[in-house]
Amino acid sequence: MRYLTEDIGKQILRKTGLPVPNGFRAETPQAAADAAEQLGGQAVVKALVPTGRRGKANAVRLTDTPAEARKAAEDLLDATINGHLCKAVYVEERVDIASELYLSFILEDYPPRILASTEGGVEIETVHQNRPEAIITATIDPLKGLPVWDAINIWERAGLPSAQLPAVAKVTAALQTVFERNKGIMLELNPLVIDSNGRVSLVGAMMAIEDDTMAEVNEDTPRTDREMREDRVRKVSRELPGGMVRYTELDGNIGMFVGGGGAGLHQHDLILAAGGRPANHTDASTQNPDKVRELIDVILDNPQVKSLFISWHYQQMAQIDKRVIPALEALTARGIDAREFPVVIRMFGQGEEAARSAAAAIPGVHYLPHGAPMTDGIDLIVRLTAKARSQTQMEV
Amino acid sequence: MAIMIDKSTRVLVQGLTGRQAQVDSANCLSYGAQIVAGVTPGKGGQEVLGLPIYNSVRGATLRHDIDASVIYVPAAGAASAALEALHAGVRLVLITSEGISRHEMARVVATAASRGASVVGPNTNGIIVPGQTKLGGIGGKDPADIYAAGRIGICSRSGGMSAEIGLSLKSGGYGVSTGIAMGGDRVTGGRMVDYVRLFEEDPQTDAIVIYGEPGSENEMDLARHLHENGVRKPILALIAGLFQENYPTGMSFGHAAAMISSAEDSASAKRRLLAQAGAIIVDSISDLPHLLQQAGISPTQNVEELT
Repeated sequence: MRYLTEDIGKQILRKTGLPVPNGFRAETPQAAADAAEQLGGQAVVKALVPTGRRGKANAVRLTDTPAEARKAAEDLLDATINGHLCKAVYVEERVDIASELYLSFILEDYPPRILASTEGGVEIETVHQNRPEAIITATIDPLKGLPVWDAINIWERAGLPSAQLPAVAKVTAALQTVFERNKGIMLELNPLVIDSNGRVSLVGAMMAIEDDTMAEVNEDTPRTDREMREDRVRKVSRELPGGMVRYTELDGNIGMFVGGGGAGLHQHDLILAAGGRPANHTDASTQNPDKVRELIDVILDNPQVKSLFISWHYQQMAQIDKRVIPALEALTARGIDAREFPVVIRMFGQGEEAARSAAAAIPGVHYLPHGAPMTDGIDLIVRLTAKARSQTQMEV
Repeated sequence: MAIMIDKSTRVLVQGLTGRQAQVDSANCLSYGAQIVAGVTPGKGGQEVLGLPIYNSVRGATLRHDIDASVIYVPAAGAASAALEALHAGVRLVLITSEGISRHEMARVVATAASRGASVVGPNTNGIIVPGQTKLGGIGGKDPADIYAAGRIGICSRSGGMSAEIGLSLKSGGYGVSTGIAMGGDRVTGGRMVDYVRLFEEDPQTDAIVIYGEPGSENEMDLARHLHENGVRKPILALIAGLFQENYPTGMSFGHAAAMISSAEDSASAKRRLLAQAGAIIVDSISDLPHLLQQAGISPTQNVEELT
């Protein structure tokens, strides 16, 4: 899933002919002042960060002159807003607001849903809490989409006056098409404004879309060692062929090469329950040896790591030697002695013989017997890591 | 008897000319599955694994009786392949493909519902009826090493965990009536509660093991079902991902998700709801045999010699 910043989201809406206020992206205070000038002086300056609740974070400023827009941009640029570094602002035309509606489309679990309310604005969640009936929820039949007449029914139920129904319903139906075409996970219009002339304007617009590619890294942001290791994995996952690899670094000391989603999750839970502390979490589907080597190298590059745990579910479709052998290669390439640095492997499936003989050639590597329970691997790695740690402490 | 499929199920493989499809299908055939034909547009008239290839599903259904289709088409064309099978009248469609658009999947789910057909997956590694048949990669080359035949139903959001559950059951002397890897995507054809309902009706299933995790409402729906209809057979729930709650989450984006979610989408919330509804919560996969014993289910495994 990818969150779009407001400028990109609104560009998508504008291209389909939807009524979006004029606005410009600005990366410097001067550009913000110029944009305000072009909009006639009055403007709204908003931090371009992919997060909601910007109003409450004081990241949306009403400005009356280009000089004020410049000042607002100076404040917001390089500030951290809800955890995101602000590298650009959005300078938008001021719309005079007669009423604020709330509208969203969401596709989490099936089916897709639409939420609509005549009480839009920053307090929508409070409205939902206190008077849930003020927000109309309806499902959308994917085979039918959302025809205008369905949109009229929804807004009528929400209490929108008859005179406003045609214009709002037309925009609502068009928005549903945009949501579907762009593979939206969420599209939220808050507020969807009706101005003093009765015209609809999409003032607040946020969109998250389906996206299989990893989130792009902002190269300008200074990276910590941990983030650089995470970046390395993201890079190989994207650039090399043959399945994905994911790596999230944590604060523990057990280097984890677990894969296949569910088995990785359960083993992580079991390690914590047994008193161990993972140094990272991984998920992977790759059999590309280059990808595996790089991932293992990153795991071992973390100075906190005191052991390596290679344990997937019983492999039914993949060749396990294509994962175990490159992992062991990465280990030996770093000159690691498995007699002092615990390495525990629990890998079963096709290619197991080749994997076992590669492991047997490295003194100290523990390869669990075929069919050994998952918990045996957990117990062993937690026990050996604790022992290795106490030995290191004694040496120090 | 099993649920969904049995040894008489006649199977079509869409994308049979691809590498993974051939590996899996060869394994299925040697396990006893009745794969009768394949489909790859543009390759009609060829033969793969001794099976005829057709250009379309309709082309295959004109010449063969097809009960189920397994799809190995890459993500971009997988939803279309599933729609083709459904419109050709196939009653059961398994989608193994990974990375299908949620919106495209929504259309597949709606189409299946309108035709009274079933869709398993996407991102499923298959269904197995140990000792009889299997569809998809489930069990791999030597399914008997993982799954013994028996009377426990498995429904797993993860294909890997389905295998580990099979292995843990086998070590305790238990076998499996049907094992279903339902797929881990947010939008799937069959939902967890659908499979549990089938297991509840199946006279050959004594107890049900489910594997769930954060990332969908499947487990909440199941808890609601158990709460409303009562527990008819012991149901053991292994929910992973507790550790994620120890780490910080991302900032929320927008309000819509917060307003439609009925409960917190976390492993601990799912465990709590399922426990309240009468499910037995499994902390560790190795506890399965012991918990089944405690629930009064005796190990009846019958490991059939396969030919």
